[in-house]
Amino acid sequence: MKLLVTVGTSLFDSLIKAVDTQIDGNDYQVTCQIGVGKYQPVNHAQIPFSNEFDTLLENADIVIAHAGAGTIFKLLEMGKKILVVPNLERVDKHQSDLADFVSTSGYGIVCRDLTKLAENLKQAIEFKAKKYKKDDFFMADEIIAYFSL
Amino acid sequence: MAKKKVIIIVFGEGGHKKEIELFLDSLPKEHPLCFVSIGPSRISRPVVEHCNGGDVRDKHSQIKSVFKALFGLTRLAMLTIRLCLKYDVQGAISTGPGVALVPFALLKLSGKKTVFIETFCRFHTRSFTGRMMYLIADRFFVQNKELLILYPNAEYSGRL
Repeated sequence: MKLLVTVGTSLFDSLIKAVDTQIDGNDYQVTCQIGVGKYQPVNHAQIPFSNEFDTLLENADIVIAHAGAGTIFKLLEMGKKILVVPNLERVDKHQSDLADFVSTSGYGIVCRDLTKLAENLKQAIEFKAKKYKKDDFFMADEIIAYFSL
Repeated sequence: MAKKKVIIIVFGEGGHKKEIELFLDSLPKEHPLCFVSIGPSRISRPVVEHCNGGDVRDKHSQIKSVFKALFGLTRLAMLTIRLCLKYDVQGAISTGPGVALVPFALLKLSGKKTVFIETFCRFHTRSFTGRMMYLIADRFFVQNKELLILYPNAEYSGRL
């Protein structure tokens, strides 16, 4: 099973370390995208945030992701199985908002305690997620008209 | 020669940049607007000019954020003034974060139109930038209906 771990453009070393120490490379083919983190995984492969990332994303069977909006909404639109880990090491704690949205909407499993990462990963694999639904942005014409006045 | 009419788009890293790209993708193929951008890196969409706006905060340290803000906000003010001298700036659009505050305040003071689209990662909490922009921006859009409770005068836009 192909497992991709992503922290976007941010710093989230504790997640990468938890993956490195808790997830067995014999059970999963793991690739970590470590953002600007300093922790280098020793048991799994790592990649920078690059064009290669999109290919890995498409091929991944499951994704462990920080709760960054750009990442999460992209994954939901792709219909990927996800385990969301809000990064509460940031100064602002807004990733909690999006993690709650994923959890309460039935779109994926959220890990709020990194010591339970492996256990939550198994739950995420078994989890039957609801199909992501959204109202598409409909204000483009309105904004064009506003600036064209 | 008449200056080119442009709109300044301002964005930060990660999701904010993604949102601006999605906003530009949501526009019809042919539209009358031209954009110049201020952000930490180029967007993969055509703009007349890109200016590196850096960041005004450190996501992991409040102390570093203070220093970053002092330098960052000054640089953003200078950039905004330079763009206003070079182009006929019609206004600004932003998806946040705080990097947009100075350009929006300056443009608002000079009578330009300002449109802020609150980031799609917010559902039940208000960001500092959102609180400020709710007061500054002429049009304030939210992408999640839940936010209409916190911003009663906002306009719901659907999600990028």
